[in-house]
Amino acid sequence: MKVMKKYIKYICMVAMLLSVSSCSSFLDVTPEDSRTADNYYNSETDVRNNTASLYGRVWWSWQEHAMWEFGDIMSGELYYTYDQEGQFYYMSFNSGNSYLDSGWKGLYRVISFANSVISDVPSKSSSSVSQSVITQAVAEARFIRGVAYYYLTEYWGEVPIVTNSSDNISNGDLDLNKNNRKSLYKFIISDFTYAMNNLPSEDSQAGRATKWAAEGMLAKVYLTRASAAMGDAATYGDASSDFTKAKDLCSDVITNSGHTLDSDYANNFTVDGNNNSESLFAIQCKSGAYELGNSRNCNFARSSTIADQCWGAGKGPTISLEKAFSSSDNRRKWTYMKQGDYYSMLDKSDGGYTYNNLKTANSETPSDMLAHIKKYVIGKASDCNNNVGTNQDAGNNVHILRLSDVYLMYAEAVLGTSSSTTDATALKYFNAVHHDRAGLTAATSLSFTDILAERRLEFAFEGMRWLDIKRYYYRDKTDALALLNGTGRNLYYKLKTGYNSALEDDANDNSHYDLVSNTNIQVVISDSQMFLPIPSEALTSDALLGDAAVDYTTTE
Amino acid sequence: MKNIMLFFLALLFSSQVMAQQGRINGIVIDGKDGTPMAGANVQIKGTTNGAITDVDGKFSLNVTTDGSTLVITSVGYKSQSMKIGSKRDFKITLEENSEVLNEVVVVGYGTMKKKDLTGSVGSISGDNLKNIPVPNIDQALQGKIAGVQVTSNSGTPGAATTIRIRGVNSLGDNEPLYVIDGVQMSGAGSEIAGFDWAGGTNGQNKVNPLAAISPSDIISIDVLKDASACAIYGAAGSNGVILVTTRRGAAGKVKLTYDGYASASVIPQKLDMMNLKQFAEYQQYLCSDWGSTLDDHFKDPSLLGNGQDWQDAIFRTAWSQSHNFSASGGTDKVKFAASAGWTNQDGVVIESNFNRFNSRFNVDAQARKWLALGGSLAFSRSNEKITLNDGSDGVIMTSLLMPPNVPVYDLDGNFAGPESVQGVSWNPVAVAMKRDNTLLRNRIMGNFYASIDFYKDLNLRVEYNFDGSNNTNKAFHPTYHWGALKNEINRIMERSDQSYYWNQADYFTYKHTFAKKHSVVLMAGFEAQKSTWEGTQIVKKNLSSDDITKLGTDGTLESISGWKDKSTKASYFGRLNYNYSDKYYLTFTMRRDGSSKFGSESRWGTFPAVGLAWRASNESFLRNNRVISNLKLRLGYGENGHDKIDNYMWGSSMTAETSPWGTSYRVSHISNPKLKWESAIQTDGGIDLGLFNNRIELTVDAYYKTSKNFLMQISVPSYLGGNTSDDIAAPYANVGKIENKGFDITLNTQNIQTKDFSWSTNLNFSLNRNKVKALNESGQAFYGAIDWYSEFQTATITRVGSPVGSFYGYTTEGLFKDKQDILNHAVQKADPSNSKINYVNKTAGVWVGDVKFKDLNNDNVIDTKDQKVIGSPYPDFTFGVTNSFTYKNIDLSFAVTGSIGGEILNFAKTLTEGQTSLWYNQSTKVLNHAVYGYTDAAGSTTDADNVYLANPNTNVPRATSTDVNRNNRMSDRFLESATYVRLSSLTLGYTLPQSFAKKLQIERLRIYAGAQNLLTITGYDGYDPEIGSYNQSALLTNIDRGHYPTPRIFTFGLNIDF
Repeated sequence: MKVMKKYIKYICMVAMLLSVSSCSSFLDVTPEDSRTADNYYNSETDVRNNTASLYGRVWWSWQEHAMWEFGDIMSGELYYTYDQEGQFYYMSFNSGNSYLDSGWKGLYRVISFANSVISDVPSKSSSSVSQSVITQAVAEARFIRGVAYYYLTEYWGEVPIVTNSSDNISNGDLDLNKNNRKSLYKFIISDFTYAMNNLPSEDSQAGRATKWAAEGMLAKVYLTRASAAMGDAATYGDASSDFTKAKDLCSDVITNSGHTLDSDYANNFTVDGNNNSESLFAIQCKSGAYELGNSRNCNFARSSTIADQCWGAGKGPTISLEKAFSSSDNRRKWTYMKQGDYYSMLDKSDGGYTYNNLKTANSETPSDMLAHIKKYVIGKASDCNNNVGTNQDAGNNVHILRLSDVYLMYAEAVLGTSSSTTDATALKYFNAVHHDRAGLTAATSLSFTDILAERRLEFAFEGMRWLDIKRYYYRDKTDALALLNGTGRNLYYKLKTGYNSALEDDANDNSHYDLVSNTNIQVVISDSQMFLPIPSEALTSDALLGDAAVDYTTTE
Repeated sequence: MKNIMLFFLALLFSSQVMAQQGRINGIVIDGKDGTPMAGANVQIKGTTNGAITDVDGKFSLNVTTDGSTLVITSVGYKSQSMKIGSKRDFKITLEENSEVLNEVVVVGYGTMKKKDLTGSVGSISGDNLKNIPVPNIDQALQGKIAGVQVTSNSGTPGAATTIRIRGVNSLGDNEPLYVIDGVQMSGAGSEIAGFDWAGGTNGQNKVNPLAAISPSDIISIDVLKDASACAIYGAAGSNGVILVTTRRGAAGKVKLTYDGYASASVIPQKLDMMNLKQFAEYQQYLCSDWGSTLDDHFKDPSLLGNGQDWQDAIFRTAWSQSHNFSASGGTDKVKFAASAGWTNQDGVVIESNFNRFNSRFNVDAQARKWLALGGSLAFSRSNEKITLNDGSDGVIMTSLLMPPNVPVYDLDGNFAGPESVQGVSWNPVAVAMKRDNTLLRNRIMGNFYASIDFYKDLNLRVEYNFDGSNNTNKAFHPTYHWGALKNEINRIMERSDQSYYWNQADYFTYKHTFAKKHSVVLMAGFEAQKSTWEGTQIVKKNLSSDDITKLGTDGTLESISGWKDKSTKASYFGRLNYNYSDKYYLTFTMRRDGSSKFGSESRWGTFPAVGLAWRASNESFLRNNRVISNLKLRLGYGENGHDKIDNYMWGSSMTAETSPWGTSYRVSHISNPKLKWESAIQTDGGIDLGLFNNRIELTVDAYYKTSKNFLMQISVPSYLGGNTSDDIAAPYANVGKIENKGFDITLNTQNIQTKDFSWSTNLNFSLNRNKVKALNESGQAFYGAIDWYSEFQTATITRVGSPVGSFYGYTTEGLFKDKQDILNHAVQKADPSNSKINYVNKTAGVWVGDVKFKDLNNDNVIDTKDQKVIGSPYPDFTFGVTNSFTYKNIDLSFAVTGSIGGEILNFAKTLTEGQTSLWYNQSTKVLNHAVYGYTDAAGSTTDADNVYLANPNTNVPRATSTDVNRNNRMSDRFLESATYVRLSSLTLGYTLPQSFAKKLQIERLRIYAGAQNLLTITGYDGYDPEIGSYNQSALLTNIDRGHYPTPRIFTFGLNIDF
């Protein structure tokens, strides 16, 4: 014990030393590998880097599949019958379809990113960030949100409007009702109008939203609402006033923006053509990682001879789309490939690529359509300076609004509620596409179906056809359904008897095939299918989504 | 090893007392086995004159008077004393004091005698573990302790297990806390990069956190089950605590042991998949029905044989071996235990493997009378090779789906593959062999302590524990050309991470008995803990050759990411044990924890607990009762907490992403500064009963536990945000409340105990009922999704009134028989022209042979509202029975474990019986699919009026490439009973007679042969009904998605004491 006492002090000291003082700073831990939201927005660069998140990767779940499956397969332009994607071809999808789910989630993801900019940039920016920077950021985000809501409205018809998910969540306000289309159009118009008034005419970073992009999209929404008003003026108001607004907006873009059509149509779908003068707004793509690029090079390319990753063997233009192209249309070859077509920019290492129905050496076999897709297919990494990766990531942008769209919208706006027009300016802009670009005989009078037919050729496989048919449907349900049901989804090519499917000589002559009809396939599209069902996962998690849509009462 | 021995010998000799005149000599013998005993203390009573026996058990001592008494002691043995008299040569036998050893239970920051416990603690000794040679300790716990459910998540070597102590306590992390010689360690598995970085599914990417520890080092495992026992670990204890104690040295002769085994593993059974002939016939049917072109190979099935059996190609008889050496011993002053071992385990799926070197060194020294010092140091290095499993593109799933007409190798000896890219089924042998994924783990754990006795009642223990690891995960994705499947771009991934954890605890223990009746143990202390971790992951592609397997200058950079973080915790804790006359017991525990995981508003949490016990058998009316040797009633109540979430989830960090214009930043998730502790409150009542001199020991515990405020990312409808890394994710919040209630029963009996024959039985029984009591305000539910399969995004539901992770979906009611049957049924696919009736159409609607789903809400439409909870992943009860027999030198034991009730979602069936693809092989069950009959044989096959179901008794729907009716949606069609009873181990051992062993210069040699999982009685269709949880997630339990089965293992082993 005596010995002990000598050491007590010493022992206590050691114990004190060993024990870590429990001062509160020991428990203060902030991330070391990332910045935090509360002290992020300190400069213009910080704000710009935040809004940069709105243009590329965030669109992935939408653009990867849903955008073209809804836009092109469902409308009878893109032939693909396999599995869940094929359900859009046969119109047999149900609320459990995966792409319905990813498309829905993808668009709402875009909206949540935009909402975060709209609420955080004004409230969290430090005083060193100027008001104009803040305003532009909000305008960009509202533009993006408008685009996402435009797609949601046109595909699903009625969806909930969310402006600040973090408020919804902290208030426990999780179950929302659907809002009706009338409210949605109004909401989208207000977003695009704000964007138009607050965005610059040009941005130093090409590809960001500009005033012109906002005007073009606003014109499209006016055009859509005007079409809806033609069928239901009581709900959607005066069609002609919306047509006039659309016309004026298009006119402003065409005459004042300085944007021009690319003299080379094909250039629009390449990496070199990214943000060219014709591009008003496009999803900004990059190769390098999953979710960053354009998925179409991989999804549309028919074989590994022309792409490092290829899932397009079973995809092609439908017979109906093939036949819609006149043989003199300059755009045909850049839209789809058929027997004998030569492409110098594909398979460069072999001196270019010639399309054959059957090429055993390439493991290429005839498709049911005797054609495959070319648009957006830019080849292997070695064909395009490594701007293609192997994660469905090609570096060519995905178009949302091209100038030629504005030209054709102008004509549609001028046509308005009439059955045809001979308006000189409308004809001029229409023919800039139809004649000057495509090389077809200039039109002298325009009806709605003339414009629709032109849009079909100009924007094939750009995920737009269903949206265009939708405006037709609003104007004239019967004719629009007849058009959709008349695309011949049961037609395919079959080698005539007497020819050997294994011989290139036999298989590569298109005259050896008969156009036949598969009687098993009976697709009838009706009113009920003009809007997509809400994905079952969303319905399951929010019972209110099954209720009738309500008006949106904005607090703005 | 050799050095350790020399070191020990040096210690021994230095402490030997030199002999003097008038001396006595002697030898001390270990009564257990009759061998000489080193390190025993021999002392003349009342003097400081003494000696310690040498390695041969001998001592010599100078004596002055013959009247003295000699006292011989050794730790763990009953002391002996004898008068010296005139005798000069002594032979003393010390008997083992087994009672003392066995009855001490580790309780956290101290030990207690088992008889003094007030809480619920389950224990298992190292000897019991030796019968079941397994590479990892968590597996050894399976079926051994009541209330502890251990499920292997995968049969892959080195896989993580799912351990649930008294049910699912949380919607987040549910794994218990492990404390290995003071080092605290979460049971949540460490993660590897998995497989999805190169596309496809990920497979299970959690690996076993306990892989560094060799079971043969362990002498006891104590499981703290109730709140009053766990409370001392406060914030870390809500899922229960497993305390692992490794072997320490005892004074005496150095014991050398060798434990080793070799084993062979095989899969329990193969699944019946179609052979080539059957597949060809099936192809013929599909092609004629769908109008597809039949492959020439299938035109004449009668010419075909069995084709490639892909299961045979990927499964193998896997060999394993394990060798462990240990040495332990010491003197009264210094004791040591050292061990080293090596284990190599092959998996039953080709190429999977686990390999470990482990070593451990423990030393305890009584440096001064008042000061003990010691510590342990353990290093292990494990290397495992992981194959892709538990995914639709995993090796097991693709082996089932690969058509039998595709060979493993083509004629040139290269890997073959399907001829169409549409099938997208990889050659699983090629995937297993070429898609490398290896994990190298180096881990060093240790602790140092000083224990100071201020005076006889007051002790201070100061300890520092640490755990450092360094892991390298490497994976390679090669270029290939397997049939029509081609990949021209190879990729290499290397991920390395380092972590370091330390805790520093200081606590005082005061023990005193007042007035001989009031016994008090008071413990109080504080602790600080810190974890730091960081890592880097790099992916490169386009390497010039597939032979390059190291990240270097070759190739182009694809991605690089890094992370670094830390967390800290500070705690104060105390415990009071009081007992009156060994009759009335009180334990009061309190811990206060502060965690860096929370914002300053809610950082601290207080966790109190109280335990009461009455030892009735010490009352006069029961004392000396012939029947009842022990009766104790216990009652415990307490609160525990949990802080297992990532750091800074209460705030919001900015996620960096690649954008068109350089790096962009966006909010990672919505913040919630109010985030606070998860907590669990538990009440436990128990009885310990010992009968007939404790030959029958029964422990029954009943408990009621509510856990609440789970640290969860709240579930919000998809329009408000998601919870993937691509989303601005929903915030973490304290959500919900779960109730668990149940019984644990343990019964140990010594049935027969004669000189030559003994038979003992251990029975444990666990029953738990789990129910969700509340979720976030608006009554939302949490869903468990299986990858991206849209029909399975809500495969499990967690909502008020049902168990956590209940299976959720549609109810089936047979198949459609004919057109009228379809038209009479609720609408599954509406007719485009009349939404009130089904669309009867072979390709675009509902057809004969499609599945009928039940219209639960009677609204004549089958939609999401017709889903309900259709099953639970949890058993009604589980049990384990172990019987041990010895007859002379022969020992035999067998253990039966059982899990009764509950369901498995056999997700693999959606593919093996899905019938939607021309390219997938199918189960032979599909041979019995719905077949069409035609009223008019020559009539149209697409005219519904002409078609009826020809085999109305089948339950397998028709084959359809479009599945418009969604036959394969989540429904009870894919649920199966999870009940099983299994002969989990059977061991027969033989110990060499001592006389014979002596001749071989060894003390004891036992050889044994055993089998694990020899027999399983189950109705389950998959490989194995033991599924576990996907990556330990409570929301994804019992889902078979191409599960790596727990193998059947045959073992031959040796235990030798030298």
